[in-house]
Amino acid sequence: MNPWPVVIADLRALRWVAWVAPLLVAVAVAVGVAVSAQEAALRRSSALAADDFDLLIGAPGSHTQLVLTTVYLQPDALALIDGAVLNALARDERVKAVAPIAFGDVVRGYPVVGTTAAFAGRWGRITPSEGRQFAGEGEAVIGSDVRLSVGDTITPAHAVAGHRNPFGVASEEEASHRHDAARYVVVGRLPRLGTPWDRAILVPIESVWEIHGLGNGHATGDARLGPPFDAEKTPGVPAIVVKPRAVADAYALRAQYRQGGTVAFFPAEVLVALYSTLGNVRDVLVVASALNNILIFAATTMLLLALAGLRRRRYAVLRALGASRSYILLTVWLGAAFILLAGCLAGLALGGLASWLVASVVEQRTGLALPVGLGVPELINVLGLMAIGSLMALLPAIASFRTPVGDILR
Amino acid sequence: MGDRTITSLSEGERDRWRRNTVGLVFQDFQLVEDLSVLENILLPARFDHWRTPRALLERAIMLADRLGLDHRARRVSALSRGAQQRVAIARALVREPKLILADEPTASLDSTNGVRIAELLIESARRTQASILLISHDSDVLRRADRVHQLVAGALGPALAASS
Repeated sequence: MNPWPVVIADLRALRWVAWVAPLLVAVAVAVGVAVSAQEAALRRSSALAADDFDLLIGAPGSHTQLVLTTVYLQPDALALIDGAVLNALARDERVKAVAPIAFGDVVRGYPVVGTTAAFAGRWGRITPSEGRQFAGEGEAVIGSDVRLSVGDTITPAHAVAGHRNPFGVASEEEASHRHDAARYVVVGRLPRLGTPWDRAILVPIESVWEIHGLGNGHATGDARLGPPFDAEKTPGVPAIVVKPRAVADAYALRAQYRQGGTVAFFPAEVLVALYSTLGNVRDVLVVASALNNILIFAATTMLLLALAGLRRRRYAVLRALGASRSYILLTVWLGAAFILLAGCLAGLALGGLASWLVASVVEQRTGLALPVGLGVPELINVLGLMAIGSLMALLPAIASFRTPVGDILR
Repeated sequence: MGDRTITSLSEGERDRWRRNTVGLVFQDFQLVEDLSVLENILLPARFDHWRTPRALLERAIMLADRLGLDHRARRVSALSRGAQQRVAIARALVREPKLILADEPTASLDSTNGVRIAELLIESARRTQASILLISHDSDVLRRADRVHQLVAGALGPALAASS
């Protein structure tokens, strides 16, 4: 038997409903797909962004704020810790590498971050894709998304808490806080990290101190960049990143620097807490979208049942012409399943598109690249819904299967 | 019917029997509106064939031609009522049934079309040596029948003269 001609005729007879019904299903399915894909991507990329920040040390205060400011460059005024801590860490046996991170200045909305060349190169993980690493005071390397060119000269301005310039735009507000005497020459550009640091301008910590009138952290004015900072009094810094030698060292350092005017913690600790909140939000959204799916599937099935009822006469005529019960069952099932399954597939595509759109908005706002993709969980989710859809399509099919022919034709 | 007792057949056997032995023509055509002329004629072939056998396809085209239909016409709903009933007749004849049942086949047509349809139906039945059982109030149709019975209050009356 070949039920397709009748199935196609039935679908054609629906006119615009044949498009709108799958579209409704698609929107419901897409919400679930997008929530799932988005949350997975957000976890992956936020964890990736924190990769090089093994242990963070800062002044007592909110751990979350310290992570947001250092890892995700969400500007906030942080209290400073004594610069002597830097030297103590640099000498520490358990420390493989240490770098200060200092904020406070902006150029055209891009944050200027003072650190060491070693951390700018992510402990040797990356090298500039264009030009070279900064090697002296007054030099800068820029993140891959900074709209400046190698060779440009820039003047940093003091950032004002609570005020944020759009990226790449020279505003009057910014100009009014400019450090007029300070100059940086862009000497290199870093490869893309997919993190907010792609929008940062990295300069030697010495220059940041100098511009703010704190000396350069070294005993002589022309000293080599980086630790040890052998000035009589090393200027303070908002945050220090430590790369411990071993896991045991990491825990020992964390324990030691938790007291005496500093806090020390692994960014992962903060992320785990955030993920758990994120997970709770995700769970709420998953339940909401599941309810959503149930409603839409039930409504669509009701619609298909009503349609099968309206078409009782047509199917009775087919039976009179010699069609078997199973021919009618198959015809109605295929028509109903087509609408539900087309909706599921379109929902998968629509969900992918939606999470891609959300990801580009998130990336534009935060610089965090979200590698959204439809993974196994989303596919399983949609396959499950397709299975449910196929089963629900049986309801109108069975209803038509059971209808007595003679009564309807009379 | 022949040497078979229809009422003792199983449902599946009755389906098959209707498919292979009976051609139905309804008063209100009962075509599938969103299908083409050819698809409507071939509909009874779809009930047991995935691919329509070539012979059936050729027969469907031949029937359409003979009944003055363009078999390529996309939608039967766009056809005139007379043409729609001709499609229904072609559909009834496509599997060469031994018995054609027609329920008021001309009642929803104007008299010119009605006469034409009645002639086509009877002539087609003759060609395929099929019996035709037809219910009608139309004297133009009744005049062409071999035997006419009157139904009175659900009971079959005696045979009337064919020409009366």
